[in-house]
Amino acid sequence: MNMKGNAIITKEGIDQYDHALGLLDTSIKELRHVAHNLMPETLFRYGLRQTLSDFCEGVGNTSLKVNFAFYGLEKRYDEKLEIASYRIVQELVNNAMKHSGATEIAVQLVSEEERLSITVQDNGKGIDMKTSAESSGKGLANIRSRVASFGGHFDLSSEHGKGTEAIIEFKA
Amino acid sequence: MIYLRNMEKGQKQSLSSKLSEKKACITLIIVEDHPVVVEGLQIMFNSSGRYCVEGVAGTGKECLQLLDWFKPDVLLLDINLPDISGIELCKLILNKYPNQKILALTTYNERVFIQQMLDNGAFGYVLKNASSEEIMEGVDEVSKGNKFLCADAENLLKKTHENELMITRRESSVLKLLAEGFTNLEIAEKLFISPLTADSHRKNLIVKLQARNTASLIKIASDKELI
Repeated sequence: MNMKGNAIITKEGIDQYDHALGLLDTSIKELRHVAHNLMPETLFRYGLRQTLSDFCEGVGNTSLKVNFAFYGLEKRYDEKLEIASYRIVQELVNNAMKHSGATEIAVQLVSEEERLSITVQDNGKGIDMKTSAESSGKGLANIRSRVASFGGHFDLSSEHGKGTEAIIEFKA
Repeated sequence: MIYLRNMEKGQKQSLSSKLSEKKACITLIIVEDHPVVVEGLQIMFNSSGRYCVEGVAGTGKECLQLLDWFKPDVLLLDINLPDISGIELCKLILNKYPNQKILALTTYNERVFIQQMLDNGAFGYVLKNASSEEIMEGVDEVSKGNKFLCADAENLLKKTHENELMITRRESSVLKLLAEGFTNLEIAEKLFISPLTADSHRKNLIVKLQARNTASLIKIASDKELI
């Protein structure tokens, strides 16, 4: 917003005002970001497709593109399953952003009447599957147990230098 | 917070419409619960001389009360209100007053909100970090019955990477092996994945390529030169 049309404010005042407004803008963004991480309201209102699409769009930056693709039939699943799915994508994408050095991440959601599948693929440096199984990063173990608790299936494949691909399937 | 100039019920409508005719300004009601923002908007609109802020409502309920008395040329509507979402309120208002022109003015910069607002009948969507010129342009356009999106909102709506067909590395390997006639089990062995995973990839491919079964999947994939 620009209210410099009001002539009563001095030049200095305008700078301070702009600065304060900038700070406010940042805090609002920051707050919404935190709130989003806690529980995205879009998830309850509009479901997984829209939420994941927004998430992918929001998380990307100039050096890292996060694409989202949806296939199949759009439907609402059990609330807990939707939340778990969202969290898993968050975790996988954050992992890829932090550790893989990827320049592109692709998230896809395949939705059917009785089946829900999520794929997260990156073009990063790949994970050494042996060491990852041993040290078993907390994030991955977390995802495995989340998926297992919904009776789902999780698989991670990675080739050195060719990126990583995670696939999850739930019976809905 | 509720405010209406010349708060005399009954007289209101005729008085105010006469007033605005004389001054030939665009009349506005601001629906917004944040006092600082309201104040800023009022200063901005009133100082331009081309707009008259006729009323301010801080909640959805107050907004509907105001509209009983007075219909502005343009209603500026926030999404985040204490009692109702602006998106819902937009629908309510238009059910009652189908000709009311609504311009959404909000911090929500996500495609879903823009889309919902427009689906519910708002004429325009302006983000609060837009310039005052842009906000006023939005009011002008909407008052003429034109659609208006601020630059940021327009970009958000345009950006749809969705629905380009993307085949992942694994899917591509699975597809090739399926085309060669291998079973799930054999594919799983060859790719060092579990048979369940191989099957997930196969099922996903069927959905993605809109095939009916594995046979038609191979046909479509070869038509699309994916194999």
